[in-house]
Amino acid sequence: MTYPEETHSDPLLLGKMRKWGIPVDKPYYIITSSSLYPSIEHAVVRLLREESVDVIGEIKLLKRNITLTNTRINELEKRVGRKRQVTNADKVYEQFRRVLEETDFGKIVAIDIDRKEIVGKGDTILEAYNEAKDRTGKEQFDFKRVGYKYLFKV
Amino acid sequence: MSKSKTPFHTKDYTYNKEYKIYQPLLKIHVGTEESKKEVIAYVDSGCTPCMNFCKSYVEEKELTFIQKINKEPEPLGVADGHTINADLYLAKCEIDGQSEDIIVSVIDPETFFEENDSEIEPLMPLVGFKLINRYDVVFKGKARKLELFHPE
Repeated sequence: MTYPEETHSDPLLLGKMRKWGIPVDKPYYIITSSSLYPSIEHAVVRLLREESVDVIGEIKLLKRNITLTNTRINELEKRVGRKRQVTNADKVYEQFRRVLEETDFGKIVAIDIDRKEIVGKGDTILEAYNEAKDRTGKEQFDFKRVGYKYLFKV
Repeated sequence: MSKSKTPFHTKDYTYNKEYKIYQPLLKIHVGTEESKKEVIAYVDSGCTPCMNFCKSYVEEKELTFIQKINKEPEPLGVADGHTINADLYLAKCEIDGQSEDIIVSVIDPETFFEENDSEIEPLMPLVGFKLINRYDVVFKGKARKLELFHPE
């Protein structure tokens, strides 16, 4: 983290600094609103310059900074979620994907993972389901919307 | 007047006291032939009646459906870019005695997956693929009335 530097131009201020024993030949740093929580680097720089530092205050600020960062990381991790695992239906669909996307883009297909083939097709899930049921006699299938990662939007 | 021009169901908009607006809500019976329960559904372009239920709502209302039709959980897209798991069921839906077989999805909001870029897609009103697109629907704005017709 870097901080903006300022030189001492005010003669009155320079005089007071000399009186109080503050070195005037080195630049000082300004903590702006964008750097509310000083870093370890900042604390070390101040220590090296032999300024009086409120170490306990610095530690408290750093601890607070860590807590806020951890909270934000947890929020982001929760938002991102985990990756959806590839299912057997995904694997079967992948075999037919290229052909289906050329001929039936946007349609719903019913997949029989035991036969590893497409057993029903239609504009709606019900159409694809009825066709698949008539063809195989089964009652459960998996469904994909051709060309999309999801079946439909909610 | 032909049968198709006579609404088989008319419903006044429901006044929402909290927001002080009138809303097009339908009472729909959903379930199996033996066990149907009334649910209130918003008739709009997004939340198509009888289309999506949350798992907790199904458990709370003890809704029963005819048949689960998927083996593995199906991925549904959410408007904010998340993917969410759902199970699909065949169910009976009834509006004013008009019964139809439809597919309903039961969403489990606890199992959502990585957030992708939300794709921009054209949306058309009342394209629900489920129940409401089987009828002609008229929104009488001034009269605050909803009318459902059998299509010609």
